[in-house]
Amino acid sequence: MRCIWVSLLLCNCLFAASSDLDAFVLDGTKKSELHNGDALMQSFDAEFSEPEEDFDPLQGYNEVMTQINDRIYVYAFNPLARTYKKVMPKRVRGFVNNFFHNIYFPIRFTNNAFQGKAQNCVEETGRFFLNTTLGLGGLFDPASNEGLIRHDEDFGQTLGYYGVGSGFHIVLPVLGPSNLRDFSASFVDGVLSPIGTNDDLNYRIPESDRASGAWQGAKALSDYSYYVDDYEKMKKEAIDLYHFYKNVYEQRRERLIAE
Amino acid sequence: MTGIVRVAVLTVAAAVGLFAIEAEKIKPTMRENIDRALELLKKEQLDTKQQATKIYAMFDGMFDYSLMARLSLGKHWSRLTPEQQEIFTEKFVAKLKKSYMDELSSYSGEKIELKDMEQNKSRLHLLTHIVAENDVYEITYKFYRAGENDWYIYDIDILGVSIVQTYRNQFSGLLEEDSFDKLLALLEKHSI
Repeated sequence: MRCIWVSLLLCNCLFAASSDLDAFVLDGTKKSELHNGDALMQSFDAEFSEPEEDFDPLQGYNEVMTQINDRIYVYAFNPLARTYKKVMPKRVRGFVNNFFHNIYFPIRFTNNAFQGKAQNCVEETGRFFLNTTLGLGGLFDPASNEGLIRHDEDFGQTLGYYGVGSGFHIVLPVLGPSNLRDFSASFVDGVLSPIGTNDDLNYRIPESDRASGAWQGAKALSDYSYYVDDYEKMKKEAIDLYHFYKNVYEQRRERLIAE
Repeated sequence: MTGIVRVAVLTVAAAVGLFAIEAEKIKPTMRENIDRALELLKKEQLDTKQQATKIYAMFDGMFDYSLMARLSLGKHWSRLTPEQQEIFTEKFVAKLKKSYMDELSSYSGEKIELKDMEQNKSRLHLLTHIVAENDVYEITYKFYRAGENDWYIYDIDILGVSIVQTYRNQFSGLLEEDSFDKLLALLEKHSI
């Protein structure tokens, strides 16, 4: 058996030496053939998940919605975000972004508190007071210069923190990838949102649901203007758009929950 | 691994210029390669393709490309014939390199910081930070041990998203509905 391996390796060696172009393929093949079936390969099985086991009851709908969303982004949102980026001076775009970030303080604070992250709550509170006062209503972000960093948390992450699984994947119209847990949780965050439709809030800014829609659209545009180039870049990576976005989303959320 | 096999592996490694690195040398080697790569990227007389070729030459030996190919297929790998495995590996590596080249061409002077090495069970993780204007992007190079103290990269996490896992999901999704040949055709289409 040993002889076979050695001769195989030497063969490959000659091959590899004779063709520089193929060298990386051949040498790599050897390495992992050595591990065929052994404990090492099994250890990798434990590290990566087998996608077939995913429960994806909405797959048919999700795939269609992924394509529709992609069209919407390519033909409507991307040009819109690029125009916004071009027309708006960078500074002003920064003010808008800071402002929205600042008024979302209640959502971040509550979810950090739900997860028992006391230090984050203290820092978020510090940020909110500093940026609202010295930062002129949140347009500037002096808190970051003071070493108070932001701690983004939402209710989906809170549920995940307490061990709630993601549930099946849902591609939302326009908003894109989500899952049962995060989609349900977004309504809880919505209740606390200063620009949402909950009129019991004493800090709600819009006076009607219609105005609320406009505010949320503005926030979405402001947020997306920072990622519009990433969208194209990411899309280029994909071999299958639906499974790519789905997996990137789920992995990223797992990571955010673990942080 | 037995002695003879190890000698054989090392001979092969020497012949093709690939170098498994020792654990202690991972960080300094990566630092050196990254610095040289960034230096190269600043040379404007080279086009992206030339830059990429030179950069591959630096990093190729650190990656176990064919293990990456195999891991991205998951359990579908063993259902392929050896010929199919070989052709898949070739196309997969081409796609990886294409992605890498796209990344390079969008490089605009961000600083790359190497953080500490972390041991994760039998793996070593090298955490790096790409410091952009408004944000810090976290990239983790994941090494496994192939021999006594020979380490190779088998996966990269970008913001906590494993590239091998994303390929695994895409390939699995495709193979559920389509043939292996369709998958190869798609890989090829995306490597241009």
